[in-house]
Amino acid sequence: MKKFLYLIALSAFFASCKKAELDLQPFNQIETASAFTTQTDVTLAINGMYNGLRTNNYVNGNWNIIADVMADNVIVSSLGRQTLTFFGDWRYNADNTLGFFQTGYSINRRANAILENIEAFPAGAFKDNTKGEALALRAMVYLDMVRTYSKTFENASATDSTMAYITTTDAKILPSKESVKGFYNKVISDLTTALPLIGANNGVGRFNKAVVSGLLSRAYLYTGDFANCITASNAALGTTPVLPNIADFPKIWTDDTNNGVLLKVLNTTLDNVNTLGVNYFQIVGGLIKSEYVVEYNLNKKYLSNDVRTSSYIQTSLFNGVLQNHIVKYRSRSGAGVAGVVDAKVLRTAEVLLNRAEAYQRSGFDLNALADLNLLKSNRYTGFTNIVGLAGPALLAEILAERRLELAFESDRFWDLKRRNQPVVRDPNFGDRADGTGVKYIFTNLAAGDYRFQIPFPSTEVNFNKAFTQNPGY
Amino acid sequence: MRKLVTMLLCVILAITQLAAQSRTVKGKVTDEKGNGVPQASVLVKGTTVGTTTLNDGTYSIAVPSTAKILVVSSLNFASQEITIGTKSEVNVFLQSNSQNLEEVVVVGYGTQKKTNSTASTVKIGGDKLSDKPFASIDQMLQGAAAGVQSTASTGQPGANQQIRIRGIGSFSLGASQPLFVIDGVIMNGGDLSNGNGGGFNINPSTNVLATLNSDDVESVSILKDAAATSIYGSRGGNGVILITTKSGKVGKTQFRLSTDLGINSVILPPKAGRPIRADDWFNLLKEGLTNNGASAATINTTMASYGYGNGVDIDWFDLITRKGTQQQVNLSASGGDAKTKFFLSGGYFKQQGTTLGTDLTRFTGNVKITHTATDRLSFTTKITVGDVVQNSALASNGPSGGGGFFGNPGYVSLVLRPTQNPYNADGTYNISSNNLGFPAHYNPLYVAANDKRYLKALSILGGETVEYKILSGLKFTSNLGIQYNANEEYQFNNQFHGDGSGSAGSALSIYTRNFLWSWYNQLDYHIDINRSKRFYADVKAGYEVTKNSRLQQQSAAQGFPPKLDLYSSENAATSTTGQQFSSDYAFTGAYSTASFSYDDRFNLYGSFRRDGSSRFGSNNPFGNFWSVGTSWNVSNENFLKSSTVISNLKLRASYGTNGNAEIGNYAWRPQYGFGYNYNGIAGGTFNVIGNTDLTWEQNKQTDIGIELGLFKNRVSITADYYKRTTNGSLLSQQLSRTTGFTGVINNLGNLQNKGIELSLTVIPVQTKNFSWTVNFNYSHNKNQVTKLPSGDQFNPQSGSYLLREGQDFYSYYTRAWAGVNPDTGSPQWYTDSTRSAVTTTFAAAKLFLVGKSASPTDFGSLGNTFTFKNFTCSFDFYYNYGNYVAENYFRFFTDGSFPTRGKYTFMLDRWQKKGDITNVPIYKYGDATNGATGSDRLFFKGDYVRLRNIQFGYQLSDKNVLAKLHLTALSFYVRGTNLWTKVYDPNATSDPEQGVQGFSNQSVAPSSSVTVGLNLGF
Repeated sequence: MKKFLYLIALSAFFASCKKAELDLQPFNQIETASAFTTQTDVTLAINGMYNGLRTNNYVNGNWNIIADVMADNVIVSSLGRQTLTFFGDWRYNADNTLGFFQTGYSINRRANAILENIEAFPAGAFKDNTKGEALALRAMVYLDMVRTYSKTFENASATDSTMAYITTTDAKILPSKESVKGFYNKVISDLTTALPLIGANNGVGRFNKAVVSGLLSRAYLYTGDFANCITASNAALGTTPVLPNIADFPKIWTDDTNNGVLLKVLNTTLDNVNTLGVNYFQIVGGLIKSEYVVEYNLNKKYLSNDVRTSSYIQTSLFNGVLQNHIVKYRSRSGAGVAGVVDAKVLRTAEVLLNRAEAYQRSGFDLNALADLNLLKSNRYTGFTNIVGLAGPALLAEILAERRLELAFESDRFWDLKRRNQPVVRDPNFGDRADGTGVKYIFTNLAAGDYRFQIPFPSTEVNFNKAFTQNPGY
Repeated sequence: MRKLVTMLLCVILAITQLAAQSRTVKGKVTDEKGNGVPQASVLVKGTTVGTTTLNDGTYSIAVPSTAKILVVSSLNFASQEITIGTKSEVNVFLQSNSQNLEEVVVVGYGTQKKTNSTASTVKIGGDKLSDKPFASIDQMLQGAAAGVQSTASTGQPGANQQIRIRGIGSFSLGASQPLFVIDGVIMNGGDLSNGNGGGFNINPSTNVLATLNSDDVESVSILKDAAATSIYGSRGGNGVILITTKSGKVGKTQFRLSTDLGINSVILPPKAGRPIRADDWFNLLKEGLTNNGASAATINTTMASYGYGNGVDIDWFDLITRKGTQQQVNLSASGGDAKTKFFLSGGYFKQQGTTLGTDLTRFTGNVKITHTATDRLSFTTKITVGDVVQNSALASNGPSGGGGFFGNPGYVSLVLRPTQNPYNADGTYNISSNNLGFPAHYNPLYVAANDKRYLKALSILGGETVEYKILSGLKFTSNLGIQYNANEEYQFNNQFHGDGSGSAGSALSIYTRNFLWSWYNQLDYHIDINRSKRFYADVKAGYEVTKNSRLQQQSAAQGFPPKLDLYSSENAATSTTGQQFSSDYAFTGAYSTASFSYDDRFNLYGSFRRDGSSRFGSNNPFGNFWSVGTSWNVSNENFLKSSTVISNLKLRASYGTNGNAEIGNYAWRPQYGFGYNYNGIAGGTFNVIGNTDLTWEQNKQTDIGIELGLFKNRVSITADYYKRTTNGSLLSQQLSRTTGFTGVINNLGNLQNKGIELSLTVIPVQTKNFSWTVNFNYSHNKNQVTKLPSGDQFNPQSGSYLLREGQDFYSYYTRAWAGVNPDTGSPQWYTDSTRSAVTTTFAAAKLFLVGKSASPTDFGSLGNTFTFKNFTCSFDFYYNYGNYVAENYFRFFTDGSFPTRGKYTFMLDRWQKKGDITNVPIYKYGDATNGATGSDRLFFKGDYVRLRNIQFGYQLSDKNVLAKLHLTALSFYVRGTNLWTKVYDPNATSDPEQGVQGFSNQSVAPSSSVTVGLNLGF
């Protein structure tokens, strides 16, 4: 009977600790109310926001290759895994589209959360800088999204619509679309608001004044506002642009220098995110096994005295086949892990090319030529300045240099689209270094084709009736 | 002192009397079936002279000449007094206690007389569960009971079996599984390996029940209606499966050895779905290039680059499959006396899968001891240990698209061209990266030989039950159970070829531990309301606490030395991940039932439970659940008692509420989470919107049943109608993707399942030497989504289905295929749901509900057993129809959009010239019509009949032979499993059994097996 009493007593004990038993806290999370109370909390949130840039489908995902795959810079390697061929063949549809849409909005939600919560903090440099970073990051992501999914500013009519420009963390919204022009204007507005707020130096891997100016340069180029593009570019580049020089240029790609890089998204060896490289290649048995190799005609444009040639391209055997592999994301120097490098998101060279184009297209050929010469002198050994080049020929030369400089960096397709150009691929050459091998099957995307606008995911279009699909899908 | 002397004298007197005047009485004690009753007590009335019967029920006793009456008694039997007279042989026939005469059903927190039951339950005896060539007991439930759908989504040995009781009651895949209760303890069921946040799974499917030896199981009871499941409150909503393990039986220790040995063979896919061979493939390539306008020169160089004329012709499916061995050995000992009973067992099970690299090996040990300390107090201790090693093929069974892994043997057997030679000229594996080698999809033979992908699982079930009879009729029970499960998973992708070649070999190690304890304390009270004991009540009240803590550690490494044997990650150069994840849950519940029974005619039952859980939002922490049930044993009424036709008739009805709490451990909490690091510094973000109102899914179920026995139960029929309504089922409330989220979890959707179940057992022939038994069951279920928060939305399990009010849960949403244009060979679709116009432009075809579902409308089984003397022959068919299977990877093997891959055999029927009437479009290299995607062309009918089991057995009954062999029982058998399958749709490309979601993902193909077995008792 005694034993039985013990049992009863024990079970009574259990019955009494009921409520406490049920209050189990997660191990990796805190309650939202306590998330934004101190400056340290804000710093954590800023890190979380930058972390978002690294998520799939953006700068550490396929962003660094997609604009090359869809254009004419690369050709799929027949020895590779045939990744992204649906995009290379322009065969995407609303059910099978880029995931950047969802990713972009989820990154910007992090920025919006900071912007909503920072208001409660006391005025001062910390608050201003934080706001500046969040606004600028949001604008950059939206600019890339609008480049991807919609017509460009100059090609869009007043009624052409694009995504909604979301600036809230309210999860109940069901937004309507924004006009393309209105969307671009909001990007520029965010950047111009950020510019006076943000600090000049926030350390490597974060936004600062020069980055914001550089992004403005990019945005104004897309809106065709050349005067503002020049102003913004001037602010980003300073009086003596660091491009950097021929000796330092290769170090950009091994992360040995930050010269010439306005914004990079950091990817430490410990983070070990190798997707940047894996988009292009794997190392198999010490050899480069490419997914995509340099297109034959483009490869010929990289001259032997061009420092970019060896920084971007390696001609080597894989499986007994000589190919032009893309090594821009090969690894850091030393014991670097294959494919693990920082993502270079904005470089001075791009800003300089933006300015050169803006100068030329607003009639300042001499300034444009000076910028072109400045870039070329920092790329070609034994370069002597070009003189007398002007007009359309000069513009063509600037754009040719732009293609060479920004190849394999997610510019080409958007740039062709911006200028309302077609994608024209040469059907005569294949994936081998000598131009033989497997050739393009899909060779032409006419200027203005609806497929220049990547379809919105059907999940959003089906759910949110106000969010109509891009024409053609 | 005087007393002592007197006593001593008496004893001496008695002994001398015995010695002088005793005589021997012999006999046999039997039960109503004529079987000997072992360990029965045979006592001379009024004395202490007595003995117990032997195992065969015989006894021999020296009785004093004065003896007149023997008292024979045994547990579970009514005791008998027999006048012996002068007889020297007295055979005694014992009748079971009326309490035990009737079948007992296992119900929640106890047992119940079947006649008193008001619930719809099915009990499957251990004899139906032992010696089957299945790794886990849930696989044996296929066709075993009406209303229970048990289906496999992969042929991987040890994989999780998907079970649905009375339809789909939850929107999420995992939550629709029933609750598993082993020996009274609510367990973690299903797949306890990685599956963390839907991430990559090393072992695509594992099953915690595969750690349990089905030979250790006494019975499985399936609780279906509210009167049976509501006692499990917030967790009983999707049905409950009670597993009771074996206990010792009183008597001489019985040893049982059972062993079988056999061969597993792969079930070939239907003809349309087999890969084509080299000649056909080259014909397609040539035709495809021609149709794409390629020049003759291009065609020739392309053909040559794929090895045209080399004579290589590989049947990849044949290469990635094999004959596997099947073996098990089980040894058990059972016995005990009136005080202590024990059951001990050990088992070994080995199943070699028919796909390369798949197998399962299990060792089990089991001890259960029951001790009756006093006539009031007894306790039972149980420990069951299972150790499993499962080797898996790289594949996924989910809708995640994981089936497309380049190392998945099932997938690559179709993707690879028949012109790719797996071997080099010297016999080594070909891993070169040119068109004749394996540049993209890997050589599956090399991968199977050199990669590792395994689970090592250790499961321990422990239980301690104490019963104390406080008063007559009042019993206290305390039951403490633990479930400890440790899963070590490891993957090594070799450094030379395959997924690891890009990183000089890569390894992933995942350790997952779940520790669950559950304790209930309960009072059972039996009250006789009238004197005749024909009107009584059983009342139960208890309190239960369950807590589980889960821990997972993950580490990854890469950069291996070039030695294939050194696959352990300690050899790797770089460690890339090393993290720990934890997650807990807890439940408390107070429960009570009352059951009234009058004259074995009228029964009334009620239950109530109040549950709380850490998973319920702070606004809704506790819930109440109840049920009522009633039954009327019409056959016990006077007007039927004398009926020669109707031997049993019972009508029952029940209604009640219960819930489903498979919510996600912290899903309700609005959260700010970490791990969003940047530049090596910690970072965080709001990552869970949360919902403080979040609560269980509520089920309401009505059940009406009839149990009918005819002609002395030669025909018995059980039929049920049920209507199960689920309210507030968890559904992600869709959000605009512009919020950065896809949705927020909420109690939003309503579902309804209505159906009928029919079970029939007929014994058409029963003679002394021959009997024939037919078992048939049939289930029909109609599922409907009855409420959605904001109109149509995609099914959270996959965008292949659309949820719409009034439609089946798994309704496919896609374009409707309209065949091939006979003039051009172009694929065609109907433009919309009116199916009035066709288009050859994919984008012009609207998606709509095409009227096809992944859920079968009807399924069941038909079994026959013939017994002739000592021979038995039985065969069981399982049938399933009314559903459609979607081929998720169709586009890769169909038409020309992936022209360099292997193709399905049905591609030979492609359109070739104007006027061709076919369902397969023109073959064009780099086809961009989307003909092979996004339409119901990808579906085939899931109707099939399978010979699930066929068995021939022989049981030796000659006692003399057995005695000479020193055995008490001997039987042997030959058994075939899944030997024959009839697939009705000629367009089927894979086996139609593909899990509840009906997705064919090129997962491990199913197998058939032939085993021979031997059972010995001694």
